[in-house]
Amino acid sequence: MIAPGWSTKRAASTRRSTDRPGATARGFTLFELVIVLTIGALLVPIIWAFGTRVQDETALGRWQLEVANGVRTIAEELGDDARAGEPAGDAVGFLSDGCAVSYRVAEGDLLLREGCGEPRGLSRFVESIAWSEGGVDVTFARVLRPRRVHRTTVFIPVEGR
Amino acid sequence: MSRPEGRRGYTLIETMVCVAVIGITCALAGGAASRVRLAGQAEVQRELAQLVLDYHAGCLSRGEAIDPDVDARLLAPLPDASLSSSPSGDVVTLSLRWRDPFGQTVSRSMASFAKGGGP
Repeated sequence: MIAPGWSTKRAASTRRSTDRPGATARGFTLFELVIVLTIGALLVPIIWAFGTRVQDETALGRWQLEVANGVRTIAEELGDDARAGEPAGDAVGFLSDGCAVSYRVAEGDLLLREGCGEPRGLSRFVESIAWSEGGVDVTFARVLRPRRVHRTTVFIPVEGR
Repeated sequence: MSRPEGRRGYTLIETMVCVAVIGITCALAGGAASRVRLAGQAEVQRELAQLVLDYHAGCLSRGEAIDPDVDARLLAPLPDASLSSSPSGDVVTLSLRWRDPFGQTVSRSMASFAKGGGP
């Protein structure tokens, strides 16, 4: 029965596809949807955790390279300052011809200040620097996430200390 | 493998192939990321080895004795580290060998003048 105002062609197109002889069912059954959602719910956390791990590993690798560069730079500067002057004070610093050279950490950067000049950055990711027996302990830190902080302390010998 | 006429969806084999491809890709990415971290550690170890050699070379050139505590602290981060020196006249060649994060033994050498003929 065709409603008034509907053409026979329109009425045919509104029929369900399964009404056509030989046509197959369309759409997903509830069971298929549940399976797909379950697989998705299992795969997404696994892939997410894996992606986070890959991100952390590469970040740590880059950080280690920064540490290596920092160790090289700090060791060279400390060696030069130790040869030019005498260690002075509790904080890491030297006194050479009345000119004070100081090392201090500010917001994760190790800054070197010579005399009254402007401080210049020596290395990133430095948490602390302190005198130690025979040298200096430099602690590098990298915050990956609030609860995951990686630290490494490097001992750098200093002449005359 | 023939598929029934008009059948939709994935077969078990297709699904397993997709999962295997994802798994292999993840394993490769994970391995590459681990190698990046280990390469970073190896670079840090090379710098620490350089500190050891610089310290020994400095002591040799100044004619000072090696402080065993300082030496121990310097060598501690280098697994299986061993330092050897071969004097030749006033020049001493220092060689440091250690095991890197990849498990291979690597070495670094430095020649230094020795005050008083070396150790």
